[in-house]
Amino acid sequence: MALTQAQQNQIVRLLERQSSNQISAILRSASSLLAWLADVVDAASELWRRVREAAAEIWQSLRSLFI
Amino acid sequence: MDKRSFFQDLFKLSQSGKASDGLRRMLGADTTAKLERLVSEERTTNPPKVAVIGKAGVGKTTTVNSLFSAEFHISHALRGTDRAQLKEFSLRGGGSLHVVDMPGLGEGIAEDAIFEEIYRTELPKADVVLYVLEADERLLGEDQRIFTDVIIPALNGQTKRLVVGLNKVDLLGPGSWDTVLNYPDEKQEKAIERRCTDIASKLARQVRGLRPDSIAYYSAERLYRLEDLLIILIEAAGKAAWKLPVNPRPWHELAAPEVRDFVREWQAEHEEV
Repeated sequence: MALTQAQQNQIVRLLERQSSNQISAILRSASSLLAWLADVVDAASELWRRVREAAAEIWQSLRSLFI
Repeated sequence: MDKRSFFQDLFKLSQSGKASDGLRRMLGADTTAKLERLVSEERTTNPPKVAVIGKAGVGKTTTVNSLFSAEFHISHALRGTDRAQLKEFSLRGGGSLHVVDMPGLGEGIAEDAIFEEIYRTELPKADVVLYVLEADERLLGEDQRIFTDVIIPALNGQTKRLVVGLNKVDLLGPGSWDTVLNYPDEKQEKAIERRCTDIASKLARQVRGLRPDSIAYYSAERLYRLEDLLIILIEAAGKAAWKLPVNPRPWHELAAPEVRDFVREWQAEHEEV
């Protein structure tokens, strides 16, 4: 059975709504990946800072032994 | 690379664990490979976990199936009761989804104590909690008590992760369901919106910690407004949201063949996402 013009218009409205919801979901999902990656980077930077501090302390101790 | 394609490429990476050529050009081969490994490992070691709560017959399983298009893999009973289970689903893009399927309370005093204990253990571990109700205000009294006395305390102040789904709105009237379009007619759509807005504001008023914008109405069986529910779940899941599958079954899947043909043609002309 052929669709009436009114039905076609309604389907287009629904598809446009679906598409805009899809974009909204994609943007939110991508933002959440960025937020998670930012946490990973923060944690890695903090770890790296502590490793450098510990290395500097070890180096100072070794220096004081020999100098 | 423009902002929109950057976000689309990030989204593809989050869903499949594979970076696009655009990201590879931007980041270089080494960094891209590390990023892919990081994303895939996180997906494998820490799969997204959705706790779904609701009484028998409210449509928990249909909701999960329609919303995530995931394939059921295996289930494990929780704390010696077959009625609360951890279900593992396989996702199309790889990886898995863990669903903690928990019965509602109020079906038997002896079992309620066991379920309350399971809520207290499992809810804090979930990325997002979906409480499924039938969209019928006559049934709300018991659920309000469960929210206030059990669910909200079990979440330890993390109420942002709680989403309430009002399911089976296709049964509300007046008006009727248009089976050609698989959509409510205008009269029914207005009735659904009015009744569900009433239920949501009543619930949010009476349950402290529950926000009206974390309540969605939909019909899992008719594939109605699943995208709206998904967006609220993504918001609620915060930094774990990227692991959730974003491919609910579309409403037109259940429409008449002439509607599906029209949709196919329209999508071929407007293919973008």
